[in-house]
Amino acid sequence: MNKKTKDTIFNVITHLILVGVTVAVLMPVFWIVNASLQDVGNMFSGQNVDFSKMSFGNYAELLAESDFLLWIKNSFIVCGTSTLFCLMCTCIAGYAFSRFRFVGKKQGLMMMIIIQMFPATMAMVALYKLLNVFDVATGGFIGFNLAGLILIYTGANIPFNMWLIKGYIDGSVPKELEESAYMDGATKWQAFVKIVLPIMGPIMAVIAIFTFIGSYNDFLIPSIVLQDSSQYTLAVGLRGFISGKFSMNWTQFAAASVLGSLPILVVFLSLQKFLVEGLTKGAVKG
Amino acid sequence: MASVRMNKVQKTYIGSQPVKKAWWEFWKSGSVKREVNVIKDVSFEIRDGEFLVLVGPSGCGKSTALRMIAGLEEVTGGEIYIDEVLVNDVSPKDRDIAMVFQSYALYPHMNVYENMAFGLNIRKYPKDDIDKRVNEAAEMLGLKDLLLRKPGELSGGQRQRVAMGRAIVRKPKVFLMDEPLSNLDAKLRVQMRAELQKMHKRLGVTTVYVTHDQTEAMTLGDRIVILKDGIVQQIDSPMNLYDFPANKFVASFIGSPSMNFVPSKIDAEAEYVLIEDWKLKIPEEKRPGILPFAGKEVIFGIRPEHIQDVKFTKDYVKDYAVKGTVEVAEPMGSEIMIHIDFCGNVLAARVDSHSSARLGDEVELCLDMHKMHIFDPETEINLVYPKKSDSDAAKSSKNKSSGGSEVLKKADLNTSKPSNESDPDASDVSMGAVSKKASSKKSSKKKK
Repeated sequence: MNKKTKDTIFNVITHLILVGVTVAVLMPVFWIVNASLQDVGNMFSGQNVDFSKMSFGNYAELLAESDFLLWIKNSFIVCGTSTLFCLMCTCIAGYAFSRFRFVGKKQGLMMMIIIQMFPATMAMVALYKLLNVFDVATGGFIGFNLAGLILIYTGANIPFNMWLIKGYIDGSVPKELEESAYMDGATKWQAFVKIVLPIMGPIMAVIAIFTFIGSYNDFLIPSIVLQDSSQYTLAVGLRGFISGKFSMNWTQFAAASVLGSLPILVVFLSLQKFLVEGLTKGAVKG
Repeated sequence: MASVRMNKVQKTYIGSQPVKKAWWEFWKSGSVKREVNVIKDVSFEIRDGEFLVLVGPSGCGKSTALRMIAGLEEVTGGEIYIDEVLVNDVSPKDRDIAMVFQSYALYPHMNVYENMAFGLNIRKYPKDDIDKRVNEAAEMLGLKDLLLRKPGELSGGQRQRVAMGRAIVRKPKVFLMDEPLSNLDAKLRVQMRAELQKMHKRLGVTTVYVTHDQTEAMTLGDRIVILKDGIVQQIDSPMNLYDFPANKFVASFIGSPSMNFVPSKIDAEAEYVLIEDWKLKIPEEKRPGILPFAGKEVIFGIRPEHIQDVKFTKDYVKDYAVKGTVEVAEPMGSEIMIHIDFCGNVLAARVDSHSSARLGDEVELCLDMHKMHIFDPETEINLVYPKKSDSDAAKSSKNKSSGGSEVLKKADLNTSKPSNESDPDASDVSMGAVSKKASSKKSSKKKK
């Protein structure tokens, strides 16, 4: 067997594996899009895809009969606000941990890493009890509602993202820039806001996307925290379609899933450039 | 414009590694972090409008000294004065100083105009004034067409000019420059050096310039401070440093190629330097400093440019001539650099381009003994270093009585005009740090 034949066989095998993996990845997407366009009766009939029976009826029903838009709105309120708060906290904390020397710095950093090691489900009971305290203390303002959810997401996302920010500043923001700003007459805060923050754009985009998507997709915490159906987020609302004992509306569930993933797709695609830049810059010191 | 004075300034860093101790010592005093002394008792004055260069090898503390003047590093001990105002606890923004960094530190998200205007905007200057100043500086530095470009779109030389422009627009009291030319290629460096000289002449602002390049130091500085291991070795004008180095380190640091050093001995009458079988006559004016070392081992030093092929020497003196075998010959066009084997030592010489000295030849060379140096092998002090003049002595005693700093005395001494007399005591005062080292060596010997 000559080298050319060997190369061809190698290429064919590689491509077969790649095609297989791609099919495996795209299958659920195809399935859910297909399901969203089918009647309930057709979905589990095991027939081949029949384009003639497809319709957007599920989508129309979803928008007309369910609280889908309300869930989306709630999700955006929770995810947007917690992302914003998380960015504010992590940028300041990451900068402080990167640049300043203070008592407990090392221990603080260690603690943030250790917190990451425990699964979120472990904290469920504690979070519930904490929210109870907040509920009483704030007269229901922060409690088992969207505000409580925002507080949990903000807190949960800070440790890991703070490390990302710290790593980015350590590696990609030269200290001399701030020193130069000090020499130009800037205070520490001005140097941070006017010089460091604009340079941190890429990593802030990464954190925004991760935090937003993470909270948007989360089901467990909102299903425990949110008690009023008017405050349901998308993930909790979706469950309503398939949680009935005798009526499991998989097709509308699929339509809601497809529609609900569109905003994320738009956010992701528009910030993709920053995402790649931020991830590589954070990873490679230079 | 302003003067800057450093008085017995020290800088100590607390290292990250604890000092090694036995467990019972931990029990008593706990963990103690290792201290690193970067700057040790440094004192000098930068006069109003002066261009002072801090030079020394890597890790000598020159950048730390500059950063302490800027206020970016805390001062562990001593005082720093700007215009006779103590600034130890004044923040960088209130010192009215501009600094050019080695990496230029241009703000990457701002264009050239915004970079230059940043300091003025922060200080809330009127918009018209900012516009005028930035345009003036841009005109002066040839940046007019680049004002809307981001730093990423500029070449190294252009970035360097923007960094200079950012410093100029503020019209500060003092310019600090931390190796601003080290990132440029050789040709651009020469060009920018000339521009720096022109700029200083035009603006006349007090400037402190840090470099490890002795050529930059020699060409730019009104005076040069030579630092080694956080200790000032000598402060003087470039030519005085070259002609009258205070010790072996300065002698080897200034001049390219560096001075030749040959272990030798002084004869009993202090008339000759003895290098194995060779006898080199000591000129009369050099003898007084060497007298106490009669019969003792010393280090003989001479610069390559003060050694010439005898065939091209105008005033041939037999007592100044040596012979050796050529090991390396490098014709440079205007001269020939030769390395000869002389009594087991390599002696570099810059001889006439018409010299016939070639690889393997035995050549006779004439040394300009009037320009030779003799160093104490223990303290490395230059024994023929000129004595301070009477007027300088009076000045330094005045300083003492008025509580003036030791630095000033040192500076006065080091800038004193060379006289024909030599006095090892004078060197002792000027080389306080070195003599201290020697005395500590002696005392440790005694203890043993």
